[in-house]
Amino acid sequence: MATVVGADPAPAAGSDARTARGANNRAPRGRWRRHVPPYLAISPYYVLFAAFGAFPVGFSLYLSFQDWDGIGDMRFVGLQQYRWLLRDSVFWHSILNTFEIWFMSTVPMLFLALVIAFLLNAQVRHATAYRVAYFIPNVTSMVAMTIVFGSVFAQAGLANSLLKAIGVDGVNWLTSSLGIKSAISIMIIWRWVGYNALIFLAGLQAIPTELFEAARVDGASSRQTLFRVLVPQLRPVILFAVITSTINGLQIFTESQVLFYSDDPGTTGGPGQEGLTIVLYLWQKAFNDHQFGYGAAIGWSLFALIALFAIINWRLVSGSERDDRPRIAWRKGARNGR
Amino acid sequence: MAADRTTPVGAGLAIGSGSRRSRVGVRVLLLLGVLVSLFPFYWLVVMASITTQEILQFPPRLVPGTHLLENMREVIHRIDFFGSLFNTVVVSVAGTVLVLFFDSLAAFAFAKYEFPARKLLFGILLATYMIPGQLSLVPQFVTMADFGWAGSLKALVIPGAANAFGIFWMRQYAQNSLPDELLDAGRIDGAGFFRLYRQVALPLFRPALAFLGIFTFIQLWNDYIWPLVVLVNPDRLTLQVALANLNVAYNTDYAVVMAGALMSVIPLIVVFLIGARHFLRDLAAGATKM
Amino acid sequence: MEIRTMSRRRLLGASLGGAGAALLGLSGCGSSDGSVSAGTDHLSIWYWNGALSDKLLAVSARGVPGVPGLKVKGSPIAGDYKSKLRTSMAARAYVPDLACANSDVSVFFPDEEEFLDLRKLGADALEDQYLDWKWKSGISPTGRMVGFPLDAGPTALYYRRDLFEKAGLPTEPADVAAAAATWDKYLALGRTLKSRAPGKPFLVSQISYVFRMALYQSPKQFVDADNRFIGDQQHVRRAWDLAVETYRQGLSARVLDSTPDYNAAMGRGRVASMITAVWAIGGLKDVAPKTSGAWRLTALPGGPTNYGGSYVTITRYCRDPEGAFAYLKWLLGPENQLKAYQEMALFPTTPAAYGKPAMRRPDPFFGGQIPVDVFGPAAEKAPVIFFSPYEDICSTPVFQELTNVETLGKNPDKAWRDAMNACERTLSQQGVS
Repeated sequence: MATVVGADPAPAAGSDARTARGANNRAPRGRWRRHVPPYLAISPYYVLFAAFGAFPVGFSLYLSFQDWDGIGDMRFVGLQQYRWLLRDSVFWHSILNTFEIWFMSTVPMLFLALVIAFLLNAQVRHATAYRVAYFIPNVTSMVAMTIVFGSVFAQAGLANSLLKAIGVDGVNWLTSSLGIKSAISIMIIWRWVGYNALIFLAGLQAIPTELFEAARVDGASSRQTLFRVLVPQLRPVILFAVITSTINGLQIFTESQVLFYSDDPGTTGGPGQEGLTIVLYLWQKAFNDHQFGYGAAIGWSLFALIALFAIINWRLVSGSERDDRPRIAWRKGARNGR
Repeated sequence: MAADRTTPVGAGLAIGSGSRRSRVGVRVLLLLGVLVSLFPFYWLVVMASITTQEILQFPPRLVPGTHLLENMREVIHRIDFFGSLFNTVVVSVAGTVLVLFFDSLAAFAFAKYEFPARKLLFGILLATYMIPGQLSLVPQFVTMADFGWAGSLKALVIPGAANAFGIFWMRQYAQNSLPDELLDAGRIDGAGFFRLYRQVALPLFRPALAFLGIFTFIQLWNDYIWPLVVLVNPDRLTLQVALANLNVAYNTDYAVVMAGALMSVIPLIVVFLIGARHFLRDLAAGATKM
Repeated sequence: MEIRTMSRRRLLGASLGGAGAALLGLSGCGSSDGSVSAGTDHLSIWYWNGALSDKLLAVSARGVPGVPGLKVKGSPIAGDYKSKLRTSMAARAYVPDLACANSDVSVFFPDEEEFLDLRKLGADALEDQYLDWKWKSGISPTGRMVGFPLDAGPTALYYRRDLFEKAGLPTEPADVAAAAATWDKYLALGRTLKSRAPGKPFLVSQISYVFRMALYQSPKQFVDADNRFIGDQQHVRRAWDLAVETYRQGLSARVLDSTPDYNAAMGRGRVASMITAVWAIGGLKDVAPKTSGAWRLTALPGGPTNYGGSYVTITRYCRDPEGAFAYLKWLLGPENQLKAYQEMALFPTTPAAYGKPAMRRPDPFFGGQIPVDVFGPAAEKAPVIFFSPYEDICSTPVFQELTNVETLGKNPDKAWRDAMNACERTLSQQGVS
């Protein structure tokens, strides 16, 4: 860390020619002036955040206490919107749907991503090509791909055709509860496996090889190495993937909305509203039924849910980290003598 | 290294290791995955290039047809495809430029400068990252109405112009890859904050800017819910919303809708393929540094 | 430090940013007064596909005849039209000068200030040219005329004469009308069809039509004029029970509109009758062209009613209210309503048109029958129904539950209870008890 001695040779504008670190400043005005540029630099974010981040959040809270259709006058109703929410079976249904879809998509997706990460790690030739191929689904328009998958999962679509070709009955992909959730989950898995696989891959490749050398030298089998060395090392990356998948999964909107989008707002979420996610319900209530206050209340409930879930995830995945400290457990007994 | 079954498949030792059979197995599995990843695109091309009747037939037709141009012409005829494409480009480029500029500037300040309340301010920034976007969906719409920005592309670009993720990410990068010596050398030469930013930080930021830029560009391009809500002018839409409208309005003309989907997917794939190598390398780097 | 490459890169960055900002600036301007047509030389009217005559729109885009200097361009809006209109109004931006409104125009009454009072523009002088109940339905409870009559949806019983014949049923419209005069008689026809006609055709495509037609025969609906929920009363329950009975007797094909299954059913004679409005004719011809000549029309069981039909409104953002009203007079006068009927099958709300030769053309699809002979009287005799602003909110869960009974086999009593609960809950949220 270099320090700079006092005066500058070249005539520099203002006093910011002096280093921001460790320099003495005689005039108090000068000291604050020194800080102006960094404050200026970070201010765009805070200004924008104040106007378009913080204010809307506060306004959203305010709105959730009103009954308003966006056009007429606002009517103050206190906590009424939240009370309706608690009694709203469609809302609870949407929460159930969201969690089911989240579970059905996140678990297989993470598992597959892990497997693919291992495979990618073992494959060296054409590495970039593979990575690109796996990542592309994440890049494409969700609207377009939902339209494609919607056609694949239609009653007479490709999926059922393939099933029938192997002698299995077609599935009611878009007209049954399980079918709808499966279709949406498959879309989500398809989109995110590559992304998470690459993240896991990076995590894998960052593991120092000495750990594996040590494991091999100590005679650990593949399985032991896998579970006692690899997975714990990957834990931060897995945690990152789980949390981001959770936050994403609880906010699913596009797949759900586009799949059943039609002229008739009553079809939102599909038959029986089995595809209605929380955010879709929020959008429906706010911009189809024009109940802005109710939509705001749903937004806050979603926030509470995400916070809760993220915390639970964190505790679950990182809490058991404490168990890994005695890592010599993979050694079978005292065979190697210690 | 000899074919060693006990060597775990994974982490750094895998180069050239494993039996020939396991290597082939790996390749087969990977190719299977690639097939699954890429098949929907092939299927999209097939459906966009045949007629609606052929799409509905059973068993389904599996090879592309000859009607692609015809379907594409219908798409252009029915929705303002090029208009919405242009709007999407404007939004994505302008938004990305703004994000890169504001985020790198702020990251530079946070990483390399000390100023009062720096930790607190950064903490606030982290906290803001936790707020889900959907919470502000409704009030943001009202705000846009109040500003007169509803239906304008401004509503898509300005509210998101600085995001916490970008600043956080670039700050990490700056801390790791921006040597203090260069900065101090610059200061000795009499450079101020903004000159240092321009002449020292920016060039060194380039890989991070490339990554963040592509990431942001893709996000802006594919954004759906916010444009759906705020673009109330039916003549000024982005690609995603226009495509959704096409799907609703003409949803029995499957071939045309698929052609529309294909047309909206291609630009971004092309852009991505151009910058892929960069992006993927930095995605990995970023993830491990978190 | 390579100053030259630095400044080149800087130049690139600046120009990118500059271009972006410039484009932004350009794209942001215009319509600060809220109207979507601000800054242009025409007024704009929003409609959904099929709501207005395309030919008349083409004419008015070039210039409205009789109103020098006035041009009105139409914007077809896809998707949820009503929601998009209300969203524009909430955004106070890009609101059209004129907007079509569907049969649920009453949903705009709570926000009636967003629309101009057509009476203040001179509508009263035209009142006697239009169907009485239609005119009244466009006026809000405070007396503000929000919607100008566009088209009507008189209903009838469409039936497959050939299938009726094969089942030994009457085939002439008058006879069928008598045989189907009540709902119970109509269902009995269905049972006969199922047992005796070849292919065991169904009576209806889905039971929601039975529910709707029976409900629209009542002047009361889900909410009364005092904003009280009356949806659990006899007039609704009766319609519900009829529909469920139709399902129980196996008389419904259980296919939803606009699905490939529906298209197949209609085309292949799996459904022997339809109870719906005149505007369904176009769709039927599209979906089942090969059945042309086999269909006939007669009076609806239980009496005539109206289903659907739209209005045209002028929003408060209109830049030229007098011009807009002159356009309305031209577009919706008896002459042009007749033209619209010929072109788009939009049934006129001006009874004067019913007797005109152009409307009295035999339709080969219906075996040479003249549709207006059935639909005209139905339009004139349709009951005056009170629709509250909350009808949609109530009817949606009811129709959804009915579909659940029909397609998912849900228990009808539970479905009714769920529907009523959903109605009451949603309504109380709106301040209706």
